[in-house]
Amino acid sequence: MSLYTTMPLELVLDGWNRAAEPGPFLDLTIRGITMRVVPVAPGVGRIERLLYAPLERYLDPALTPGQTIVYGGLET
Amino acid sequence: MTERSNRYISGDQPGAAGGDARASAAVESVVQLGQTAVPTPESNIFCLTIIGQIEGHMMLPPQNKTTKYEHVIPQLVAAEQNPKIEGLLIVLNTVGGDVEAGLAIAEMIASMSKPKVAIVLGGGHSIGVPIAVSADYTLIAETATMTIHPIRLNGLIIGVPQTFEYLEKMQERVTKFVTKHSNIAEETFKELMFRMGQLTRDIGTTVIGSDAVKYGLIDEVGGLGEALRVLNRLIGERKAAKGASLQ
Repeated sequence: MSLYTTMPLELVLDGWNRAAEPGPFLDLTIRGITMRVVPVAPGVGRIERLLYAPLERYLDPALTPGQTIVYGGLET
Repeated sequence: MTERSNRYISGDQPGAAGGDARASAAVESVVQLGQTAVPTPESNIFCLTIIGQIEGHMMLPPQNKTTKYEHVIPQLVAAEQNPKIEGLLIVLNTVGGDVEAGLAIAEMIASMSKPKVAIVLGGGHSIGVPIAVSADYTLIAETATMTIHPIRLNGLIIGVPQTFEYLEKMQERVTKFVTKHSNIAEETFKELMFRMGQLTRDIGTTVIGSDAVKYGLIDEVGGLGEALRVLNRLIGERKAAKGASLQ
């Protein structure tokens, strides 16, 4: 990995060693979309990324990484 | 209808072009369906925002705002394939990021067949430069800046000549892409990249607004209105060319 950025690397990578591992992640399939989420509350997760989705769903703002999604009971 | 609302409907901005059609669609929905909800117009432009750090193969710590290439790339495929989307507007305010991910996004944009216009607001630094120039037409806000500087190696570095050859090759990838997709000469770009005394912590140059145009890196100084006007013109030209080829 080569970072080509104007930001000082110590700022970009700050907390790299101190932070716990990213995650824990949960891989879910909701209405045909497989996504990796970080649980933030019971039944609520923050989308980390889409693992599999029909192409047009990538244009859906509600499925952008960082959005929260309610998944309680919706998994298939 | 008041004069004010008429003015909005008949405006020349995209999406407002079919003002009469939309008004008649509203009447139609009342007559046919008994509902007054006005159908919302669908934009024919896909707006892609590139912000913060461009995240590549490693997840960056959470204090970084990131653009994730694994989401942007399928978005570009979807935009290229979706017949409702006729043009792409790229809005950049990035501090750079992963070389491979940045070049991947830039190559994807450059190889799209639909018209695309990029606008640099705030900053389009480092790996943001190839992404900015990948569009058909590029604009920069008067106060926006682009920093051109050499790539640094991160992590463990082995002190052998091959390390520097590798670094030069990586730099060459960026230089080649930028010079191929903009009007800047390779010598000028390299001269800006290795200039001393301009940046406080690095070598390189920060080009501001009109300077980017002067060097041939960007086509024009302008804002959103101009970007949309150019994009609509390119969309119109593409439609006309398609129509002519069908006849």
